[in-house]
Amino acid sequence: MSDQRSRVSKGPLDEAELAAYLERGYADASRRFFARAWDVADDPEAVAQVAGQGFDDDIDLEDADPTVRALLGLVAERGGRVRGENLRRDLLLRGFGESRSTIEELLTRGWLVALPNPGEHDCNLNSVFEQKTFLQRELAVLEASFEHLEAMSQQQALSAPAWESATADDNPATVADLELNLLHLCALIRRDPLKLNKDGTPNRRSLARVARGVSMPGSHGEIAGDLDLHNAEQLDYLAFLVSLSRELGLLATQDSTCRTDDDALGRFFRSDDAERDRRLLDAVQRLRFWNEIDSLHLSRSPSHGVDDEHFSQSESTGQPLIGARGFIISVLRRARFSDWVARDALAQLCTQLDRQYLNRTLSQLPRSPDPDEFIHAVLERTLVWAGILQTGAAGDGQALIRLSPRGARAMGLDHEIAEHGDDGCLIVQPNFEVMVFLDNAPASVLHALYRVGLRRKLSDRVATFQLVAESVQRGYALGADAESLIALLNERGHTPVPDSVAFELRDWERAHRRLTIHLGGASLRHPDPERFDLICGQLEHDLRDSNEQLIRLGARDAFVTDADHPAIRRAAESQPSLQLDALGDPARSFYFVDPLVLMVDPYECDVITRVELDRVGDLLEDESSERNLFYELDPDKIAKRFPDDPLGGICDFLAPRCEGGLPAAQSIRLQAELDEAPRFHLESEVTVITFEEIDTAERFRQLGEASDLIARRLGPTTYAVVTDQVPLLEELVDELHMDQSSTPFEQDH
Amino acid sequence: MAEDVLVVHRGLALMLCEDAAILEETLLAIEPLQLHIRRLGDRALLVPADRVDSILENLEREGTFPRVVGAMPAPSNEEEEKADEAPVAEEAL
Repeated sequence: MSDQRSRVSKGPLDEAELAAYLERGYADASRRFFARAWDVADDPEAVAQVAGQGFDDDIDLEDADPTVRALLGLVAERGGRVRGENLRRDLLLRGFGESRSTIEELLTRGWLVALPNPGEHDCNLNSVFEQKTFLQRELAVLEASFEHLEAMSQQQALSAPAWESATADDNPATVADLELNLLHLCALIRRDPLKLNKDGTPNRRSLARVARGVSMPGSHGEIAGDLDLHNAEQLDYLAFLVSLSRELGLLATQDSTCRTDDDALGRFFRSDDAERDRRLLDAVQRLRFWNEIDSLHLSRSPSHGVDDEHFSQSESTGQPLIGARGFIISVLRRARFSDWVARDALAQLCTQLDRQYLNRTLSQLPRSPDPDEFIHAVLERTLVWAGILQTGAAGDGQALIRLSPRGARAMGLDHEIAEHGDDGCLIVQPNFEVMVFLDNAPASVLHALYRVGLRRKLSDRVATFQLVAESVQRGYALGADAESLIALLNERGHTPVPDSVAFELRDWERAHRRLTIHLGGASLRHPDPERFDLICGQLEHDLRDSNEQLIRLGARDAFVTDADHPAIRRAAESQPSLQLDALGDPARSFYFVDPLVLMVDPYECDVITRVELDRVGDLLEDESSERNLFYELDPDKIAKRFPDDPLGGICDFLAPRCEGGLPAAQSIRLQAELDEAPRFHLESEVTVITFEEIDTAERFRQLGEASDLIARRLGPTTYAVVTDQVPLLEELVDELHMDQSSTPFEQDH
Repeated sequence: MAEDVLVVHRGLALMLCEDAAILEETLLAIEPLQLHIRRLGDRALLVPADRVDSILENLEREGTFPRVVGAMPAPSNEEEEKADEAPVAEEAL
């Protein structure tokens, strides 16, 4: 039991735990090592007693170098026991560089003790030193030494500096600022899609329309009048925002245009803060259309510039770096630092942990970026712009870095972030302006306001939105509704929504609902009004418990709002029915009755067919009845409808709508009308020679006289013979002993 | 063809207007699109559902933001089957 208890101990190594380890855990060689280091008898009891009583050559800091002081200070700070790797990492992050040899020296002196791993029974410390595996073990100070250390710590003899005099840069970029920029950009691109040039770079005029309200990292307030898209850093940051939005799915490119995906935007900003932080970090790692190496080059020497492909939304210059970014982020996760650390030390840590990986990954890239340069670019550019890391400086000017609170949360580390309360964060004014205090405003509220309003101003932590008829109705079209909006404004407002504003919000909703578009439904038609009335009655009955409805549109027409509802299937199966799909293949509803005259049943005719018929032909009203419409195709109308290729266009329209395809006679007639009339030549009294075998026919063609004999080859075995040369042919077949058949061959081979 | 059949026409979107004036305004706004429209009475239009995006774009340009309910219909089975068959056809070639 004592053995088991000791394996889960924390704090310094006491006598009982050491005795248990000596009994089962350490090999005899380790006991001899301790006896030698502590200068006591090679006896388990005597060795174990040292843990409680100390030893003559115990910790003495008089001549100790700063690294030893810091190292022991960290051990004391951690309660007397710390994992070797973590001790080395923390010393590295606090600017003490590589400390492996110092740790080894303290272990050799016996000031620190490398403990057996759980389940290990014969830990030989000599082997541990030989194999340099002490960093993979728990390291502890003896209980007696720990009391000594604590006393020294109170006298400030130890030092484990934690950059207490560090100062953060003014106005650090935050995740909240980034989110506001993303919201703003997506809201403006929703109204005015971002155009991309042929090379994928954002069209500058188009970008300028959406970029004025963006705020640059580390600066409060929008760029506004300072926007200059010839400024490489501004253009670079905007490219970063667009690329990040695409990775988050908030923007999608199609046909050289970036458009906002409102569903994705809503899902993202309505998710909880921790989930957003996680997704944001994930998207930053996966950035494909922006890379930090070029970005850092730009900031250091904007005059030199980089290739346009850096700003291109079609050149995935960032994609090869995804793995390497992920590596650095994983190092930051493992570093688990909670306070300022030296920037260079953090970069060093990234290279120390697995330098081979970065070297290997980056060397495969086209430009083989330098690993150190890449690490600095990710730390100082990507993660700082994303608000994950914050920069600062120590009293001595050393550059420092720390995780922002939301950055720590994104990494899954401990953080101290208070939840947003339900306190007020906005004021709705009678002039339809909404002032939002950003520090208290949850992202979901900002998203709701961006959906229905136009952001007019962004000053220090206060954004002002204007509600106008167009913006609010656009918001309603995106899913907002007046009652929910008024409730949100009242709930989050410091003052109630003015009556005049609430009235207008409801009135704009009424205007918005004057036109409703039902997607995903099915139109129903039946020529018999009485029969149709019965069908509709049954459908209304079947739909009464669902959210779907049947909308009657006249005596013979109705619309059901869900095309896949089982009630429609039942209705179609219970009587003769025809299924049409405007997005699928058209029904075969054309029957040609005369050249260029076709008959169609209007009830079996889909919308596209019916409309197109009017564009390519004339209704023959005298011949037509309610159930049978006759159309005569009009070559002039066809030429106007399909100006590039009238014949091809009309054939493509007619063929799938005729049973068995477009009749050949109709297509020849159409060719005659729309293209050149097909020409032919009629020849009588023609002599034709047919061979039984293809091989013979080929040999015949190779005869020296063939050019004089053959008028035209009519098939693999058949030739038309020049009429005047028939005597020559007869002479030839006779000379060649060919046998003339009295009957035609059955088939041409 | 002479038989009276119930015609179920999928893949269409219904544009339902509050009154005839709104319908005329709507028709005017989407006229440049040269759509395949079936007009039903003085309040309703049927249009192919895959043209709704361009209709909305035109309407929004005119300052009209209609209510859109329901989801875009999924492609018909035939189309899906064709999509599945396409790679096989290429292999055969």
